[in-house]
Amino acid sequence: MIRMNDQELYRGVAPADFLNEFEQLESDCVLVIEHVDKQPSDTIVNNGIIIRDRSFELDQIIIDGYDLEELKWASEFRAQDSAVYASCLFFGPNGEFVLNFSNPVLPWILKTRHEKNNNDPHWEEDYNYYQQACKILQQISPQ
Amino acid sequence: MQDTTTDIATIRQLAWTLAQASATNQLDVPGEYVWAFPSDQSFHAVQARSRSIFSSGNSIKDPDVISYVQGLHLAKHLLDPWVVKKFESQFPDWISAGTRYKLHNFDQFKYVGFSAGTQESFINFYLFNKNKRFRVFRGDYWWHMDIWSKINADWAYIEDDDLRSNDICICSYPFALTGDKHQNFDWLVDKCNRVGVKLLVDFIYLPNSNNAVDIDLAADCIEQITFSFSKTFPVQCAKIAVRMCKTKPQDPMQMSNDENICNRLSAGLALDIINRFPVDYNVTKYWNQQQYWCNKLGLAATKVVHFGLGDDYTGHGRTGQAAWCSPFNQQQNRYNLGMLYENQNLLKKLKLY
Repeated sequence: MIRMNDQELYRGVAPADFLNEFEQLESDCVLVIEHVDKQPSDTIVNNGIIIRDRSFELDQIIIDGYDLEELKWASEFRAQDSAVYASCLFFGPNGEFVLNFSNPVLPWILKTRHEKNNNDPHWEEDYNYYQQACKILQQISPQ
Repeated sequence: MQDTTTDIATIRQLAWTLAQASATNQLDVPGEYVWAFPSDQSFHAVQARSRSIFSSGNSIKDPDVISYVQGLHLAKHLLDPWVVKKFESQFPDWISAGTRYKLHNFDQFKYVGFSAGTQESFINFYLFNKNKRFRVFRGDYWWHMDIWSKINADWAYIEDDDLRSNDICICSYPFALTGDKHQNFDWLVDKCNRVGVKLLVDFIYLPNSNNAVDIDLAADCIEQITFSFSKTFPVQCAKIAVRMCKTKPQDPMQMSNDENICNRLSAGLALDIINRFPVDYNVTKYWNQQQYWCNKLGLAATKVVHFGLGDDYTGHGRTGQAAWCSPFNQQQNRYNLGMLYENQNLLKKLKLY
């Protein structure tokens, strides 16, 4: 199940790719991907080795065209048994992957990256120049 | 460096706007190099382009020259076995007609060779002098230092050691970094003559220069001079340049000339251009624009019409390498104003002009 700020976007078998277009007006966003209904019988162990299991892995998150890349790890997996795994993209047990981010996503990406790497102190100025350039050029572009 | 204060904020605004306009195909004059295109409209692609908007020494993409070139029938030159010779014979007169510089004893350079960009001349220079130590002033064309480093050639900046008999020098005039005569150029010529060291003078920006160059080419040390078209006309990827020598060179490039296997399309294009446009075409057309933009942006106008000098804006907010392509490409204080000249209509519409 995939939810954005409690709004259900998808329910079903984990898809290879999931594309969703939705209008997000709130600035604080919570993306939740929940793994449900896994039964003990889904895991078959033979001589201590798991020979069949139900699991999947989150590979990539793209929001508004921006690949979150390493920032997808700025998340946590809350297993059903209350265990919390930071930076876990593997969906083994039942539980939910939770990613908090801000809308629009670009300044959040720039800010978060700078907070982690301390290498882009003027990200906000650049973002503002970019926004301004997009805006004024859009105004003169033929519709 | 200058009395004025560089208006970094306005420069960054212009850089971002032109970079974004490039991504959205809204420039008045598109046709940048592949490397200069934003790969898409994303923030990081536009950001990268914004940092190179004023870099490189390449020509103003003059719309009239572009229009003229687009209207040419170049394939006909493939059928003309004399087209390279025609270009080589007319080029010296075209250069000599320039009144904004003085090339005394230019006529001593009797051997004129078409060069596939000045880079072909340089490669041949490196090859023919491979046992020498190459010398340049800091700030000269970064490609020399980069290539010498990559091929493990012996080289050193002129500032770092005395000139010795096994050295060989290259110097651009006007100087690549400043658009003016290098302050130690006369010293270099004198020293080369005394030590017996040869000096290749690269007149890379000569046609776009205004009262920067006054040189006596009779100096013994100066045996080769080079001229680039890509800094004057928007024909960069046609690779057009000229090498002139006092004595006939004996190298692979000259062999190509002797065999008459030079690029006829490029030579024909060059011939068409010099028959249409005077050597100081850009200076005449863009000098006022240079004054306008340098005044507006707090840059010092150089004697090369498409350059201004100011504080670096590209390093703003960056902790990593600011030089594009090569660590030797340290020219961030030199602004190529071509994008501003070419996109006057767009900038007026956006009220940025």
